Amino acid sequence: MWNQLWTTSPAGSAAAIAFWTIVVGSLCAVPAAQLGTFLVLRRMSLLGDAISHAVLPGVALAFLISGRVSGGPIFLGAVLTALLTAFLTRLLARSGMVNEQAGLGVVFTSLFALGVILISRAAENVDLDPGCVLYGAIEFVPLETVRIGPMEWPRTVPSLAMTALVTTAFVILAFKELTISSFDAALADSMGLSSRRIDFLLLFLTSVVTVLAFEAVGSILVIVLLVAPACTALLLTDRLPWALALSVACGCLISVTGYGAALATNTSVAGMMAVAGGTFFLLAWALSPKHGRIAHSLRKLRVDLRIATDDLLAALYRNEESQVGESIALIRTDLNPIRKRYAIRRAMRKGWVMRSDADMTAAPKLTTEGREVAKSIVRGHRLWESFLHRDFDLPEDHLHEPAEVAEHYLGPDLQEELVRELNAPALDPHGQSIPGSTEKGKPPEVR
Amino acid sequence: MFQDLLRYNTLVILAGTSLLGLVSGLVGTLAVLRRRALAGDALAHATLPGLCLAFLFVGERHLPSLLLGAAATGLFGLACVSILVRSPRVKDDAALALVLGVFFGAGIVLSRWIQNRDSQGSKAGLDSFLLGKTSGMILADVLLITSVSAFVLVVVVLLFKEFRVTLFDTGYARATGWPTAFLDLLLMLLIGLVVVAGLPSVGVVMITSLLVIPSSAARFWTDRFGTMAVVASLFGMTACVSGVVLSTLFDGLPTGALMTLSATTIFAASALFSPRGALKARHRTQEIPSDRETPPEPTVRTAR
Repeated sequence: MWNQLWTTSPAGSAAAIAFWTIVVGSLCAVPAAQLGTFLVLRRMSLLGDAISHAVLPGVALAFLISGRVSGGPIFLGAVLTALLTAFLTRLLARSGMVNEQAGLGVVFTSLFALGVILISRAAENVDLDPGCVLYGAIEFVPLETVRIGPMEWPRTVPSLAMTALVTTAFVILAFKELTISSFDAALADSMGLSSRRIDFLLLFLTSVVTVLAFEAVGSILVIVLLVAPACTALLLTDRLPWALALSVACGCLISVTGYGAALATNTSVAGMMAVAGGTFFLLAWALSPKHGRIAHSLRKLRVDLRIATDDLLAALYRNEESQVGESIALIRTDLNPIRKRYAIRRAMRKGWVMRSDADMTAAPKLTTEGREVAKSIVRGHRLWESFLHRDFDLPEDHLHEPAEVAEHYLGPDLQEELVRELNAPALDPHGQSIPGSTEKGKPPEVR
Repeated sequence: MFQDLLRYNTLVILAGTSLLGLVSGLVGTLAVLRRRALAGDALAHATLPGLCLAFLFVGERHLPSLLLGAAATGLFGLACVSILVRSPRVKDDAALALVLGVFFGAGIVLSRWIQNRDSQGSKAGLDSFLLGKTSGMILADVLLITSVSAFVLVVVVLLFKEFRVTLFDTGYARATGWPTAFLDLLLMLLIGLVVVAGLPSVGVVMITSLLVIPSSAARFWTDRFGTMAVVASLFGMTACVSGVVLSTLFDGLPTGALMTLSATTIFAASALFSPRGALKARHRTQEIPSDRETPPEPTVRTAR
């Protein structure tokens, strides 16, 4: 079957059509994914959207001058208008009166309107199908071919392949400059890296890729190919080289799965590729081990449970200290019943509290080990209160609440530091003893 | 020519578009100040799957249900943006671009599916979805725009103070207990209403321009929120009316594009000639040293 690819024309067999469609999609995705990563980092994700609308007058003018619907003049007109869009937006943003997004909106809608007028002037003798522009004509890619060397290639493949190569070379060669100017443009300037030149090259390549891909796969898919792989990759890793690699891989995957889905449902390839991009992003957004929504919620839940257990232990410790009641209802915390139940279960599993099986309403009792843990929490709480009392202008009844938050984050090291800072106080501002302190003494003076 | 302008159809179009310009200038001011200038663009693109779904379920071109479907997915798209922005690692521009592209892609898939299903096809509707059909505006459209405008005006006037606080200092507003999330959603709803009301007559891109350009132009004339909203509304109205008038003069030019270009002209004039514009700004920076005296002594608060 694969032999056929090289002997027949690109539209010669179903396998050839599938192969070339996926190749063209991937060839668009490779440069777009790399440039998109930097655009997303620079918060310029909407540039692709703006460019793909704004090139209309350039295309229309080039058509009116050259009289051809494709080829060099159209390409040149489109790239020049794309650069004009970026330049005008920059100019507006620098005026300080219009923010970047609004400036982009002003420029691209105006240029688009101009393009619509130009086209409607020339409309009598042109066949410009807006559908073609938007959905792209990736289905027809294998039909238009050129002959280079011994075999037939789809017309868009050589230029796309060249762009992919140039873009990859640019990203590799200018990696350091791109990275620094993306994260800290001022630093790049002060290091003499000329972030402006890098900016221009990035914009230029983005324009070229957008225009070429726009012709091959349509404007909406260009936007998705610029943004979706980049966002997916940035959710999965913290290292920029990995993000670039992942982004490219994701772009190619979008092209393959999108084509498969379109084939299966007999619908638009560009549309399905866009949907595939959205799906990959959604998966990464939900499932990414580090930055995913689910991991995030689980982490929050774990901290929440730890804090609930801390609160339970501290409450039991205070109860022991003041010898109040035994009933579980007397535990002086604002834990809701569910959290309280989970906190007790976790503390029992850790061996910090015991409860007699006979009477489930009785308050759990601290074990020796649990008492040590609880002591450390209460110690942190009271040290923090002392610290707040001495160094912040807070009334006495406002000390408890912030300390209730801080107590969960005061490990032994920080506690030691507080002890040193406060000259080893024995009593907190409310006059209660700070557990674990060796000396007897007064609460610290207000400074 | 004036007889052309006074025809019933033209009057209907004039009434509808001028109201649309007014209300989009107003809502656009909120959107631009909230740094969500292109939210309208994303929303407008995200209406396509809704249009297709409504068409699938209703089975014919029934305008109210089409608009309802459009509003549903459009607002769902913006809700997605709101959720994405609140999660780590996704910035607002990326969220807008993602929603715009993916929803529109889904819309294209659906529309192709519809075309496959019924052979007569419904592609004709899509061109007017993209570019709008101002000349096709009828009294029902004007009534829709009027009711949307009335609702938007009432909401903005009633919640003027709330919007002002959240737009200018969201952190402060949240810290002092204003319902910022609710106001954000409300703003999205307002943008959604304006976009959906304007979509059939001016199309996806032009409705974006009506939201962004008049308010950006108004920014050059004033620093006050209220004044900016009023000026933006007037600019929007002027742009729409002159777009309609111009398209009557030059027969055959698309009205939506002419509206946008009128707005662009207003914007360019503002950016160049207003007191804060490019031509005056240079003058102003030279004046600064003369009218400012010695800078105030920095006051140092000693910590207790």
